[in-house]
Amino acid sequence: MNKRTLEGHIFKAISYIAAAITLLALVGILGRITLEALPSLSLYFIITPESDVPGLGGGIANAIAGTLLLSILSTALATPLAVGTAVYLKRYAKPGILVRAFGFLLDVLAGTPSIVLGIFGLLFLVYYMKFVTGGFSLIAGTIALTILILPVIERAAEGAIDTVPSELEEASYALGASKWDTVRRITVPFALTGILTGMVLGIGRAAEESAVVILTAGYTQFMPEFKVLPREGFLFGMKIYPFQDLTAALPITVYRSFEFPHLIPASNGFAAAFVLIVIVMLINAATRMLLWRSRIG
Amino acid sequence: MNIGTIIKNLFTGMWEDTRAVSPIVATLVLVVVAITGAAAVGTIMGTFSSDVSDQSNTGELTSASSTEILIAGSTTVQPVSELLAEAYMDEHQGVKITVQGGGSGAGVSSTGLDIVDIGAASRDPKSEETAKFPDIKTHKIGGSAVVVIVNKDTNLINATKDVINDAYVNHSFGGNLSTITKVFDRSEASGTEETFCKWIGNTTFHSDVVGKSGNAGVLKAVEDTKNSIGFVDFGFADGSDDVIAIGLIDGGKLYSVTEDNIKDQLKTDGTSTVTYPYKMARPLNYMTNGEPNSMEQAFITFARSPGAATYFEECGYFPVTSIA
Repeated sequence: MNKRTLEGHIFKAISYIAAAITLLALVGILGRITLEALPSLSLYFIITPESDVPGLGGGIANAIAGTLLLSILSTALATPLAVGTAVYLKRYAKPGILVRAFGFLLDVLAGTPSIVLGIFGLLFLVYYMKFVTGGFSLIAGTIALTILILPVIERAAEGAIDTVPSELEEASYALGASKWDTVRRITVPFALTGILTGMVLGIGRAAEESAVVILTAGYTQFMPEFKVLPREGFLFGMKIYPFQDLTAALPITVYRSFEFPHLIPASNGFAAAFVLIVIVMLINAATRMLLWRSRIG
Repeated sequence: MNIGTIIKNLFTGMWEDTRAVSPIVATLVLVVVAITGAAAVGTIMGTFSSDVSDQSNTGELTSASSTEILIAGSTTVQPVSELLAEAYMDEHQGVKITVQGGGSGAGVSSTGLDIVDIGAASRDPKSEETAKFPDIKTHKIGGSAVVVIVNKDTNLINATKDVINDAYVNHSFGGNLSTITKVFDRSEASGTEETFCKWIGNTTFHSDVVGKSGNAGVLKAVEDTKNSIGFVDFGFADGSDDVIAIGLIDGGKLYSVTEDNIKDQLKTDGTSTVTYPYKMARPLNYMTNGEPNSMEQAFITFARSPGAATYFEECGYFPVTSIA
């Protein structure tokens, strides 16, 4: 065997081992969490809010509902902004120093530690804007999470728009289509797969986030309610549930079982973690199925 | 023109009429209408509810959603708060009390910033904090003290702080603790352990110190293990016949563990040792920004009532009724 074949084999083996370790870590983590979660995992545990069980822990329906609301609302809010920004930067803006500066700033935003956004949310959204957001609330949490995942989706959308073949767009212009027609019917549908990947990453990021959520949405033992009640000191003199109400989230539930191990069984925390993983997977699958049909290319 | 055409034209006309207004203008009009509507509904409901509450004489409760209380702060107080909140909500239908953690510092600052209704702290506000938030009112709801316990077969009755520190930090046993072989601490972060660490002046324990879960876990371990030592909140040691809460020798003086000594210490302002090392005892406080509103007052009164004592004892703490 000559030296070059040997080198090839060695690096092939290294990459196999790397892939195997990654896969093993994933299987190990999932398996361990599932095993530890089993004692608590029951339908009752999943559909009962913590407020209905005496003492701490015992139910996670409040956290499941909160996580769904937070991650879906923030992704729904971030996606139009992110795709709009990406289309502007890639199709409308004239390349130059401003566009590059903007791209750099987006990278800075993407690299901002979540605790910084959390403290910003606490001061600005929860404290200064209390009469609008209602203090610790779903709105405050959603806005803070939107800022957090905006660059993730925007970067993915930009990358996706770069993959759109220029022949397709040129053909569209040749047929007499306007710029807006081309963006709407060619560019965005072609880039949809990439944008989807960004959204899926965004949902995952929003669902797993704990620092931002605890500082802006707080935590509650109760299920989200849907109603409007009068409240002094709030905008229009009323409090709109669930938007201006406290919201729970699964990562906080996981943390609480670590914080009060003598009051909450550890399996409660693992069960919450297990449900969190399942929810993120389900949302991913649903988003893909919903938007898959609109793609072209 | 037949009727069919007329009807068709009518509908086409409607369609075209709506297009006569620019979509931008239409949106603006819609926004204005929505805001006016929302404001009107809010005002009407606000008026309506203050009428009702005036009639039912609930004082400053002018709105239905003021029947919500958010408590946040000390994780030491949190378990008691949860028990109190559950019991209070059982008795008062329609009241919603949410309990959050965060720590004593977060309890003080979020009360001062008015982003929570009641803050919780397992200490009194520091002077810097009261300077920053002068409106904070403190309501003592209870107290707690950490005691050092040994298995009853050891025949120990007291030990000095340095010897106890040695046992935990170096796993070496001198002085009165020479017969000890096994040391227990808490396996998780806890206010109890933090208090104990503050007293001995060390936060890192020797790797042979065995962690147990909760006050109950440490108590059980010391009860079941000969020649062992541990620390728990006073309420747990008091109920056990198999452990001895040993007297602590601090600064050359012996402080024996009796309920009276601890209560007397908890009655002081907590800045100096009188009958029990002051670092081992701490008050449990609720705080409000300014005077509490009637809802908050009602809950604080409940927490301070003799009927609530059982929830404090469940957590190993003293209710305020026994130390006031």
